[in-house]
Amino acid sequence: MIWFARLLSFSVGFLSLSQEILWVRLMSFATGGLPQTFGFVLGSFLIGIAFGAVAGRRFCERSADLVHVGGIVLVIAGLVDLALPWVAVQALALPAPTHLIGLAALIAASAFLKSILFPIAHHLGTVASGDKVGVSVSRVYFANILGSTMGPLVTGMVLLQAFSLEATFVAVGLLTAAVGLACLVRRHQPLKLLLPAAPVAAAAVFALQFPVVTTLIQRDSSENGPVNFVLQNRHGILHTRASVVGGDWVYGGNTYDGRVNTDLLVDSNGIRRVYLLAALHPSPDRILQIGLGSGSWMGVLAGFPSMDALDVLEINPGYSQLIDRYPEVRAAATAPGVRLIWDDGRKWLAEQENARFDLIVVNTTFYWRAYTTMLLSREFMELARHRLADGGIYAFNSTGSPDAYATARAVFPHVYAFDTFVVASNRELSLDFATAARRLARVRLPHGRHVNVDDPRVTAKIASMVAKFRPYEATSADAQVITDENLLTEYRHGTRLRWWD
Amino acid sequence: MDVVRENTAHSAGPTQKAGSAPRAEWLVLAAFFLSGVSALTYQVAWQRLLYAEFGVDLESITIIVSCFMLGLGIGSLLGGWLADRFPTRHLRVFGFVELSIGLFGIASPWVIMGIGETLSHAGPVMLATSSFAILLVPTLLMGATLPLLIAHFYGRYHSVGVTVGTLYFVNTLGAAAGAYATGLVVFNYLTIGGSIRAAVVINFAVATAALLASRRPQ
Repeated sequence: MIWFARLLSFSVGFLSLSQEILWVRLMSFATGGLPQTFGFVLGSFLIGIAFGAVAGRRFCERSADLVHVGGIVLVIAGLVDLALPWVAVQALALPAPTHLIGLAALIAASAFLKSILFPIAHHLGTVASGDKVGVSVSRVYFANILGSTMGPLVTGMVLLQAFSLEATFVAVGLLTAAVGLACLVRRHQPLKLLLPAAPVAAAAVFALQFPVVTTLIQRDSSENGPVNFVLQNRHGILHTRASVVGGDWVYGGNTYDGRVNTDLLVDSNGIRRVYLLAALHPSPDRILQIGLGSGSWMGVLAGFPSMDALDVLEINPGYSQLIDRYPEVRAAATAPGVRLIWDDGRKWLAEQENARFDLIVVNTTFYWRAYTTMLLSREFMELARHRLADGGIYAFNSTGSPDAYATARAVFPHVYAFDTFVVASNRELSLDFATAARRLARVRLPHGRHVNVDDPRVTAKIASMVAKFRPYEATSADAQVITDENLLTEYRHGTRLRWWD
Repeated sequence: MDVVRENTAHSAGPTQKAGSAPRAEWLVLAAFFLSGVSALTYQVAWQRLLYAEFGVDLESITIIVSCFMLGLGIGSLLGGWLADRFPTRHLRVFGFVELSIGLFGIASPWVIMGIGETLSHAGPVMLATSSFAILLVPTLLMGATLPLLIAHFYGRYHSVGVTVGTLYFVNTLGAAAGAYATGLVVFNYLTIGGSIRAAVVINFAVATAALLASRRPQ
């Protein structure tokens, strides 16, 4: 019984933390990556665990057959888990504030059922020596925490790489029911006869998955064309929507991440910002891009005339499969000097102590998303400044955050605004039409030709770019410097997860 | 002779309800609730500091979270050993554990940034090692608190299930409050350092309550 109880304790920890990982993934996707999601899921989950412990205590007080009770509870928990993805998607469609209340209740309910087993497992697995229970009880607790450690490792690293989010939800539900069944078989031997049918039933249930991700995708942004690509891996969820004009839309974690377009005249994705860099820098040899997105920025940067090396950092290797579908950016990925690196951009840049770049371009996601501080903070910009060559340019997408401009201004002596693009340097930058046209004429386009500066539409575009490029002037009195410490754009000045939204 | 406590559950006779706990025990339960609040505040705040040093790629996040959990697990074994080693001083030990967590909390931003800057560029093995080294002391201490208090309250309830259920409820409810507060509210008003300092104040209050309660006759 001692080892059975410890195994039960391990299983409950493993399954609970696995499910928490899945809830965080689902809620992050549904909210587009709000930083408050983690606290919301964790808090709701812990409330469920707390009340589950109370219920477990009641069973310990009143029940004579705790193994039987535990088995029944876990089988019910497994069945509830199987229904969760469908119920969660229905809850997300409810009007505010009901949807968040409903989701909090769902998350808590799933944790509640499993954590009923926590006191029960301790009760079954603890051996008292006189009045001393410390070492014995701590071994059951240790088993639970070991399971809680293994759960995120196995589910986050292995299951979510091999299976979709919805399949992993089903797998956790089936495992929960299986542990419950093991308890019941231990207490009621005749149930062993049912065991051969269990794998068949499990396989049948596994095949019936509710399409959580595609349902949520179809619900949002449906005006942007049909979904033509979805990729799930352990790093996240990517998808694209087809568009006849302006290039397909690319989404990372259910948030806009760009469009597939490298044409300056089409400019559906603000690609003029990348062309601007060719006009600003006389000869960028070594270029760093952080954030691959649709691959369009890489497609243009790869055609810069003096480019010797272009390092492109991206945290999710799934983008490789995404850009493979688009010839105009796929070619750039294998062009001479171009290197795709799957790593955290900030961490990688910190490691390159001796590297100096002429251009560092950051394709930043929306300022209000989780972890954007890592690429918008003063600490990161200081790191980037130290990695710039003499006369180098640092440029990034502010996504409209006045704080991002203010932070660049606190780090760099010269900061310029171009739409929502921030261009910063240790040296003063200037732009005139003739220089811009001369430099842009040398940029090689993905299909082999060069920018045709004799085309009047291109001429007008360049004139417009030159006119819009200006030194940064503070436009908001509230703008503050973002630091690793204040997480300003994620919380205080971010988009909050409000009950009434 | 060792007795498997499952038998106690069958009789369930000598168990006593938490509702009849004297004032000193309510004080300890309230302190354990606050201990949960501070633990989750630390977890969220330390993770953010560690992500800044080690990155937010999946491998880094997984390693950091796993190190946190592993520290708690080993701490639970330590707590069990301490509980049996000091059978009459559970509350005092718990008080000193909370005090130690608070002291580490004060130094934690510098410890994390210092070790992080020194070791963050040396690959996943070094990442795991340094994360574990940073988190080992506080998570060991945090993990030790539950077994210590289980051992203390077991003398009152005489049922492991009831004791664990009561204490886990109180502590986890505090943890939920900490997770909600830190994740949804606190960072709107305080920096990471400010949140850590708030958690330190809570630890010192918990330690004071536990040490005061330990002076009362048991």
